[in-house]
Amino acid sequence: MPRHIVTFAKTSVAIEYPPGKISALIEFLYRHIESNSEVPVSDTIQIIHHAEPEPEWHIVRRDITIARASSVEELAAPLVEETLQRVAEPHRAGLAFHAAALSRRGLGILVPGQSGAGKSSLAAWLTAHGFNYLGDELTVVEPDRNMDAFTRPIKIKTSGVAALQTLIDIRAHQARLLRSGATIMIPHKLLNPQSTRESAFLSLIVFPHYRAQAELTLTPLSAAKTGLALMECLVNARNLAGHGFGAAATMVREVSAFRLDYGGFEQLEALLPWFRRPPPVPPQG
Amino acid sequence: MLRALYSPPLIQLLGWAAMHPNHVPVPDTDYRLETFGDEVLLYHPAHTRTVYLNHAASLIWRLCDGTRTVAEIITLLRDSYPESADTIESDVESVLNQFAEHGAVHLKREAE
Repeated sequence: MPRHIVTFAKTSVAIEYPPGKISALIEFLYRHIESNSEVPVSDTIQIIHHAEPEPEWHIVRRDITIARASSVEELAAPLVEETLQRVAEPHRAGLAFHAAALSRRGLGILVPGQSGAGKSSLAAWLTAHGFNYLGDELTVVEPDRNMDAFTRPIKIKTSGVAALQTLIDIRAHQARLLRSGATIMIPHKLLNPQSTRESAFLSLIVFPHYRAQAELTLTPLSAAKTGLALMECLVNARNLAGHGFGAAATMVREVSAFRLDYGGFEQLEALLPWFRRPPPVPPQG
Repeated sequence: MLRALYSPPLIQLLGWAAMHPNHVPVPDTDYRLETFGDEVLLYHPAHTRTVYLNHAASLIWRLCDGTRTVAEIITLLRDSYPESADTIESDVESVLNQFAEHGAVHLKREAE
């Protein structure tokens, strides 16, 4: 059975899958993620094909079926979610956030948020405007503020496709996109062919709040409010000393943070110069 | 002045406001504290719960030393903020109820 190793933040997860068309999916999902066989595998995810009674794909871990899909495309979203969870949970060296990450000239932007906040959409927009795409779901910030993100294809809900159409011609690139359930996955290189997975130093935190028809507002957040919001996005707290609370508190004292309310990509144009020049860190108590 | 914290707590919506002036708010020592200027974050590792305190709430939190009664806290704040004297009692009770709701303090009767 073919096996692919996914390595992120010093953790390797093996994905075992039947020969055939799954290999193209594996290539699509994990093309930009390290595969390092020297890092011991901490977990294994299996993809098993059942032909009867109806053709079905199962995602299995430790003999337990985690998800089922009736097509390879449907398999994509749960497979990548499971992989993210398996690489994030054991991480002990840094703060792993439910967050997108981008960079420009080595300076990183962290975009934390729960599902539906608009972080993938903001990541897509920034990528299309010249930023390096690092990831849209899982980002680790090390104690020295270096960032590492899980560089999967950008995942946008199908309800956001109309907005995406303003960034790329979706019909022209149909063959390179993947529709999985209620989401569409877009290789970030379609939005910015020059995007590179550079090492980035965390310099700005932006909490997006997308709401159709919302007015554009950018609100500075105090360090305490940033800490509160970040703790809600921390995914590996139980592995960290003091649940990462002290480390998060240190981080929010050093980095400027803002809440961004927006209702459409066209509003963001006015903020492009601001994103390109992150504001200086305000003094915090 | 002391209107604090977040939305009205469930405990208030249920009409539970029978805080006694002689109650002593005792802070849960499991909460870790980080101070950011006038604001404070509390974090409870076992409950993985983070609580944000604005300036007013953090002031009340600091006065909860496990020995002061609710009445004493109110008196101290009235002395410090005479311009807000009319609302301090209800504000303090509101904040303490929210602390209690989050398990950040428990209220014990002052020893007779």
